[in-house]
Amino acid sequence: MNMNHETGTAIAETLAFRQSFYDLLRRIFLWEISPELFAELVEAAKGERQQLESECSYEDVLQNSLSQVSEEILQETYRELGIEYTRLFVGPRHLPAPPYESVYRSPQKLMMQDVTMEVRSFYARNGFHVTRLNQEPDDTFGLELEFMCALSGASVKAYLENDLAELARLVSAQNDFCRLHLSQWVPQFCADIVASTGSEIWKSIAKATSGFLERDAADLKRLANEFPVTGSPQDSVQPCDVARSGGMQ
Amino acid sequence: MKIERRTFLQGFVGGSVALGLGYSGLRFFEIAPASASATLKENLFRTGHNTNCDGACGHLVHVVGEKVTFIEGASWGPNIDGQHLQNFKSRICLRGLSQMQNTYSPDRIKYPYRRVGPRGSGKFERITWDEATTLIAENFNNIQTKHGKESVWIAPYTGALSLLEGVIGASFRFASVIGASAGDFEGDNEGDSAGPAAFNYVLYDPNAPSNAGGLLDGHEYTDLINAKVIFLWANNIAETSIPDWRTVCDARNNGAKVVSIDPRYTPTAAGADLWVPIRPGTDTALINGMMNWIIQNKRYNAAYLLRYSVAPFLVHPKTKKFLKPKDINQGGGDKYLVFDEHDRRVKVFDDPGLVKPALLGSYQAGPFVAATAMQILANTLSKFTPELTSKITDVSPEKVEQLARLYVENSPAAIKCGFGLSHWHRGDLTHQALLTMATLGGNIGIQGGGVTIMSGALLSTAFSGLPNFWNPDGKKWVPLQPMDACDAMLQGKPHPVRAAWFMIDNYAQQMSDRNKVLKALNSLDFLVVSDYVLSATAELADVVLPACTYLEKSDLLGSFNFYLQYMPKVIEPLWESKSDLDAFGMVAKKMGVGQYFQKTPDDYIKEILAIGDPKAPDSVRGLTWEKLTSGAFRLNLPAPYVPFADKKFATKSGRIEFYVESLIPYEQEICDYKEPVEASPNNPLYKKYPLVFLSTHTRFRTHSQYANLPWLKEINNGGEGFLEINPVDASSRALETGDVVRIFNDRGEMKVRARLTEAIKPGVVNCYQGGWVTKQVKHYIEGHPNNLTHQIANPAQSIVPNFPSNAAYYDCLVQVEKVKA
Repeated sequence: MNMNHETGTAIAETLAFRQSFYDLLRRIFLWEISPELFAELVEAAKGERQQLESECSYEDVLQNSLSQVSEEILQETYRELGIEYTRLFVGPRHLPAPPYESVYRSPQKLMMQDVTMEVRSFYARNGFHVTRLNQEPDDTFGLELEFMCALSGASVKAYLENDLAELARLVSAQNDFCRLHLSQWVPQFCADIVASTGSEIWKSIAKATSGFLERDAADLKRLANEFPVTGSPQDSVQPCDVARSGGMQ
Repeated sequence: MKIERRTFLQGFVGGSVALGLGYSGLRFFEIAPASASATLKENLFRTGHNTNCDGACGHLVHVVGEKVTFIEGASWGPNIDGQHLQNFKSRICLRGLSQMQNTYSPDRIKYPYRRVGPRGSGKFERITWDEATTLIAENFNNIQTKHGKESVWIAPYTGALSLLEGVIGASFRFASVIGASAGDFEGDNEGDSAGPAAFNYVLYDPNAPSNAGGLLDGHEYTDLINAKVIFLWANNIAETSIPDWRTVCDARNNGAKVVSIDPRYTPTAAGADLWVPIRPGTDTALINGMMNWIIQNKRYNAAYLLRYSVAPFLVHPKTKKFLKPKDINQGGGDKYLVFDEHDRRVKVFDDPGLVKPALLGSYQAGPFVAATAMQILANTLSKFTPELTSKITDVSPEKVEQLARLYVENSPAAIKCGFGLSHWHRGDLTHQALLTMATLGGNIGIQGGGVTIMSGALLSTAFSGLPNFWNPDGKKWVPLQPMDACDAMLQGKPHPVRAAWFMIDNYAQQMSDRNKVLKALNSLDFLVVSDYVLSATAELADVVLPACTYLEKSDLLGSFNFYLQYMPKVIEPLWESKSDLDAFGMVAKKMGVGQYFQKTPDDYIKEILAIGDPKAPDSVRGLTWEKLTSGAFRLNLPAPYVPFADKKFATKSGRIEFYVESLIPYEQEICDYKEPVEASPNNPLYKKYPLVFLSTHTRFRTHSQYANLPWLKEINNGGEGFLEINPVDASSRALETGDVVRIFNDRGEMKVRARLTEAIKPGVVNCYQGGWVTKQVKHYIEGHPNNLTHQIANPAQSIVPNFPSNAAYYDCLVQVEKVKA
């Protein structure tokens, strides 16, 4: 590996940022956002604006909507976001944006389908299984994000410890997961959120999410080129039949 | 690699969100040894589909990697004692095949919720099971303290029809131990109780509340093969109970004639030898006409009538009760009297010197001239000439005679009733008439005969431990039927109801007179609904609980055939769904009665079936837990099961009481035709509302269950309801297929598109019931068929404590008009 110092810094920044963003997103989509964390986010959004650049627009959208939240409406906004979260992703009514990959990708638009099992296998190949196995679907969006958060966190660690073989393996896995799963349904899922919510903040979260994932797909591709897996290509995963027949691509 | 990252999150993420976590801080994952892929093994589970459908189908569920992949029909075993008496075929219908979609629907209720907006606003917040059950316990306690124990109403009903969950089991145990009121266990009583009431009048003792009143004690369906003629009376079995239609077809192949009596040309009518499009609600008159022909032509089974029925008993001309010696002589006995034609003397019915009891005639008995019950029947029915019958029923005089001949000239003759017959104000009277006719033909208690509503007497033949399960330590729930619940909520009659807990029961839409129902439910202080979908009822709830589907809990199928179908937990309950039993356990604990819910479902099943108990009934003798869980074994009963095969009747006289003393106050001791309470051309209301409104069942759902499943909607007009109307009625209203119509009466209205069809009699319209009317799912353009129906109960039924009231869904008049575009 031939890296100059500047590139190395940029890579470290990218890896760290990705991990942080996945961590933030998984908290949002599993609704593990505390009132305090929300207040901090709003506070951060009110910080100095940087020059807009189209590449970063998804973050600006989020910053814009969060910065509108004044001190007086902070608590109420947090409460409303929680209620809207329940309406969009939890129930009990029909979900305008069901946060499950299989609903977007299986022919019958059901839970716990083949694609759910593929996600389960993917986790297993990387040393994980979900804690509520067979009760909470493995392909719940928040869980997929937490999985990416874990791998991206491990990537940072591998990079800092200069374990480049491990880094390559992790990048390859994330690249595959992004390519075979997230990118196959999340754009439509986010579009459904935008189309069905009246909340500007939820709209901006959805746009930031799909924008980030689009950018991360590109970053992962670059990282994968930078840190190719050496040795046998047995890990290369082909898109499955379900992926090809799904209607949400 | 160029990275441009200028973001407000940059400062932020470095602060609050830890960097470089590695694998720590994960909330929803566990680290597992990396494996290339999990081995996917297929496991097969045999279970039963515990829905409210008399298919009672066995399901063989394929599970691959903990995921259900396929459902097919399961096989049936021999009797428990090993005898293989019949070949019961394995078939299931489209509803069963679709159950994967039901369990894995993204619209499942996944967590407990508390209402946060106004009732019905649809605003909920997710809460934990602990919070939900605390809320329920606190509210129930407060309400019971303030308004009395029975002011909490537990309403399970037929969304699940298994031993522990749903209409039979654990909910009544819960109601008993908290002293709450609850509906009757046998049926939803919403529109199914007219038939059982009549069985109680004629064949049982109405005051012995433990009988199921024939609701489940019909002939095993395989017995239809032994019939020479099968009358499918208001029974669209080919559509509503598809796996049982096979047996009718087998019987037809065996030479049986099949008659369909129905105002609609249904798939059943299309498969019958004879279709009789009757004017709805006049069935009693047709039966009376058939019986009159049978009596006038002396084609009845005299020996049977004399031996097994009250036909020869003399009737007191003044009191109309059966004449007894004590009526004639002071100090006389209490036995029934008959007239002996041999020596022309009146004797008690069991006099050893009785030679030839008179079936017909009137005789001097002391100071009275007393007729036999048979003579009174003959007199009462004599007015039903083929001509008068035809005038009332729209069935031609020739056909009345043809039907009578078909019934008595083909023995044995089976009558299989649909619930269409029960959905009338005087549905009890119609069933009383059918049982009377079956007695004339000598058809009760014989193979291939009988009057069957449903079949599968597990309740009365196998579940011997049920009373103790319902009433632990002798504690008893207070009966309150669905037909009476609205008045309890709105007017405090017979007692106030301020809180209710529904379990997979869609009362807000399936009960008749929906506007009244909604008013009643909205008046409650506290409403809990357990369900797996957000039904119209769940939508109104203060607390919504996620229920299991039949694949996610251990239970035993409740009834509907004679096989014991253990239901293993095939998959783990998805999300946070729980069985009713578990939910009751949590609430009971918080209400101080947790000791009654400490056993596992399997333990309760063992107790109720008396497994290992030397005093277990013969029907389950030899049953072990291993046997119960290894297949579907049939009870130790002769096959096919024939009720009353021993000709023993639990009536006062021990005979078939087609003359019903206890109905004298209601002038219904004989099954003389009476007009429908509303849907009669002689009703003044008919001028304003000239169409009889039916709301029948379809093959695409079971009541309102599964109405929104994609597979079923795909083959059912996208799920959209419509109004079937005859072109004659359509042309006078300038209607064409596809026009939006308003259907209305004084109680309410609904809107759907019209569908013109000659498969329905003129003067009758039909809109399939069970479509959804929630805030988000509307299978009708506006409203629901039950906006039009009423809750007027026939007071005669109140003599049967178990079946005191019946919803007359079809006894309903409407007008239809085109909605201007």
